[in-house]
Amino acid sequence: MIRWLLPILWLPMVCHGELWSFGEPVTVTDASLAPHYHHLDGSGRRHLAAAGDYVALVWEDDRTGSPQIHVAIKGLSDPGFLSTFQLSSGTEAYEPAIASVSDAAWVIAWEQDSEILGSVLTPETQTHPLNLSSGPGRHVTLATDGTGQISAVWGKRQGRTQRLVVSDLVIRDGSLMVRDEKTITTDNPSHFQGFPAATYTSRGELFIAWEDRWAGHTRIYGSLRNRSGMFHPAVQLNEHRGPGAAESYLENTGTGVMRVSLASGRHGLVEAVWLDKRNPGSGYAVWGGHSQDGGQQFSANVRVQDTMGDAVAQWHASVVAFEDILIAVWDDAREGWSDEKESGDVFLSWRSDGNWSDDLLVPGASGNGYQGSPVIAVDMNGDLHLAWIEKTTLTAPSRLRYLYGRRTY
Amino acid sequence: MWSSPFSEINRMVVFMLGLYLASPASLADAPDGWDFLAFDEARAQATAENRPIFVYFGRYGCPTCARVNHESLTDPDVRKRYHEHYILAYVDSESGDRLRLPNGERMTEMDLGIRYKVFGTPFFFFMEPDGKTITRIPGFVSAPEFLALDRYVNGGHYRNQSLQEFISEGT
Repeated sequence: MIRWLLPILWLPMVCHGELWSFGEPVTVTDASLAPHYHHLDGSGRRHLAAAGDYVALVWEDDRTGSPQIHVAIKGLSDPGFLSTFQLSSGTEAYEPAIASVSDAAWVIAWEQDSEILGSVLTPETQTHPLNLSSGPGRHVTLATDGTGQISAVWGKRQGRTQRLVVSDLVIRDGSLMVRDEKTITTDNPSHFQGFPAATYTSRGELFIAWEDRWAGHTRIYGSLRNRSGMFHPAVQLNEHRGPGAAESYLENTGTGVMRVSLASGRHGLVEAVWLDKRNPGSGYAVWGGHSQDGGQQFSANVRVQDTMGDAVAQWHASVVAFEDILIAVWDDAREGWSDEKESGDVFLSWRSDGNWSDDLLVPGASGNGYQGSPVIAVDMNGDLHLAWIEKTTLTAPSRLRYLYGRRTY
Repeated sequence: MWSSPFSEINRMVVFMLGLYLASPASLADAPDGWDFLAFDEARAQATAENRPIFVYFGRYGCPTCARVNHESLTDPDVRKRYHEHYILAYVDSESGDRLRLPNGERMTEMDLGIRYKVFGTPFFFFMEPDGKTITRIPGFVSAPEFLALDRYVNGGHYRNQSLQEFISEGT
């Protein structure tokens, strides 16, 4: 009897969200051969990118005994990832980013032995990595516009200071080259600019956002580069919440904000989301702001997750866009909280009519154990691709999981 | 010492109030005069010396951290006792700086905060050398409270009593 019921019990796995029909998750890499730990962390959280009929996932793990960058590629119609291979070759490598550059090619950047490297990847080949930083660098992210514009934004370290650099890249004869390089300057003398995100707007202009510590606490700033290559004066994206604006002795403090992510839709839509600890009792929440004029002006801040998530902290947020629809993803532990176990599930929300939806507990990325650190991409059809880290216990080795969501609207 | 139970809920209320009543701001990094180590270094040293760890989860620009630094951790008795009794670790819970735990797992300071459910800063932990939590206190902690916490942990009372029971006895 039970055996006959099993197919019926499986049906909910093919769960219908409002806008996507999700299949069953597949394992990208398992932890069964050699215990190791996967990491999906990097500036802007750009680890998954669709290019034509393919999707590629980049991450760091220590299967070889040291942290290295790995990639897996999957045909959109294939049931799983065909192969996994290592991109980096140094002593240690961290925090990769990926962006598509054509129908079957990606540009990838990562930190390797404290410098920034970049490379071009196709399903068949990887070019020899190019050193973008020629010195200490970290926090690299990427943006492409699909018509040949490629930019890497990264933090250049000089002693205890860090300033952002935009490296415009070009692919010549299949290899990556630096076309231009510019340091981000702001009106305020900043000793730390880090964790950038970048996106090309529908107008073909580059918008970047980052964490800036010039004010004595962290703020999120953004700046638009016009087609002549000039950056507009940086604007603050998060609404500053100090403990009491009138008291001068508190002017250097404020609530925490961190890890901004960016996405661009059509008609000049630009969205920024970040983690914002303006509610001191429950930790960070996902907040955002959007622009309808290609990144020149931003709306008032809007809370992205619904009120059901207010009691717990949200982590690892990022956003993507397809046409006019924005999709944000993150993890939180509203479904279960334990001091002894790492707990978390993957949620997403979308904004299609001016408001963020109720949160969707992503099927297959929830339940016992930890499912977190999600990353997301949307392909040319508007279909979703998600990946996340899964662990059974606090100290257990991890594995990478992937989920496809077919567009239904 | 404390007239009310030192439950985490009460601490949270104090923590929330403290955020808005915080006083002088430094940048709320680790305070001067304290020999804090990175968390993984502290774990290794604590294991080698079989000593408990005092972990300060802070944040750049955190007003309540600044107040703790200014009002509590400048107390010479607190500083002396904590240096004598604990291996000291400071974690910037917004930092991307990397740590490697004894089991080989690599994580950032931010992710360490997620693992220990650090929903705000400051958040103070007393830990066994293996990283197991003895007790944890969110929000502002005064110098007398730090000294009482030291008596609770260093005196070994945590093995037989909850912190609330210990405080209720007026120890």
